[in-house]
Amino acid sequence: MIYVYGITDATEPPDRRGLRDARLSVIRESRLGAVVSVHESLELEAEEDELWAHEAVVEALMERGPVLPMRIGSVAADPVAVVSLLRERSAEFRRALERVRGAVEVGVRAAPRNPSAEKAPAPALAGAAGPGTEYMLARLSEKTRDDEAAAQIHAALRPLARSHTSPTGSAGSGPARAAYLVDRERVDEFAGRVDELQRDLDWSIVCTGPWPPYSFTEEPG
Amino acid sequence: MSEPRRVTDLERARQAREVSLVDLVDRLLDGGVVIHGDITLAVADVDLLYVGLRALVASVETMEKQLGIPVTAHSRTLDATAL
Repeated sequence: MIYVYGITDATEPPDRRGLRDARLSVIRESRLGAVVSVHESLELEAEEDELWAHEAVVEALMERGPVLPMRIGSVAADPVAVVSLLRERSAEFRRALERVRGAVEVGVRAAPRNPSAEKAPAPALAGAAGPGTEYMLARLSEKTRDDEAAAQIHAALRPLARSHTSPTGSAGSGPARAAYLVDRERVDEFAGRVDELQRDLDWSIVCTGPWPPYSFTEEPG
Repeated sequence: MSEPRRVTDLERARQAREVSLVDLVDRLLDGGVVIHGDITLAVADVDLLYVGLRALVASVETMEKQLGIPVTAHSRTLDATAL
């Protein structure tokens, strides 16, 4: 059974071990290389160390050139299946490698720093309405304000990124989240912008990465 | 919450690590190249796994919402990886 970590244009595996301390190798086809390890049998439990083991191999690949990370747990019965995968989707994979070359993924999640502290003032007409309506109107105006701040954060970060995912969630439904594909040399600038936004808006913005481009392996829609 | 909670450095480091784990899980399970045909997923019971990991994600998100974590700290990875 063959476990696949990622697709690259590299010819050599990274100098480290894979899952279960297995040796890494590269299966080449159509000027692409799938970085794999071979196992008698493999049943992942998705323990935290397994997740990081997959991630560590992909990160090592990322240090050497563009990589398309596989979703965790991708296994093939034999090398022939891996060769067919590379052959059948070579054009797609090569385009994707060019899209991510020289860039890393940065994850951003943003939430109001103290959502309960500052309630929106009740709208004027609220006095005339029942308490339920008043509550709903207050919530609505709070939500609108939070959505606006989330949009402002996204608008400030987007120009620094090569590409981005559609932001999901808002303060009303968990943190607003998005992933950005950022040129390596702009990561510091990106993190600096996040710090500025955090100071200017009363939001907590958590930025993680640099990740391999997990969110950017598919053709943009 | 009446007053902002103080967060110790240690707690902050733990939160940053949990947030990175959540982000990692999101990416490993939802992102990456998806394959089909002769190649399959070897993760034991992906649905069950999702439930457990989602609980972790939800707890971190609740923490973020309630505390508004003062994490200027970026994740372990962002600080540790040489660019």
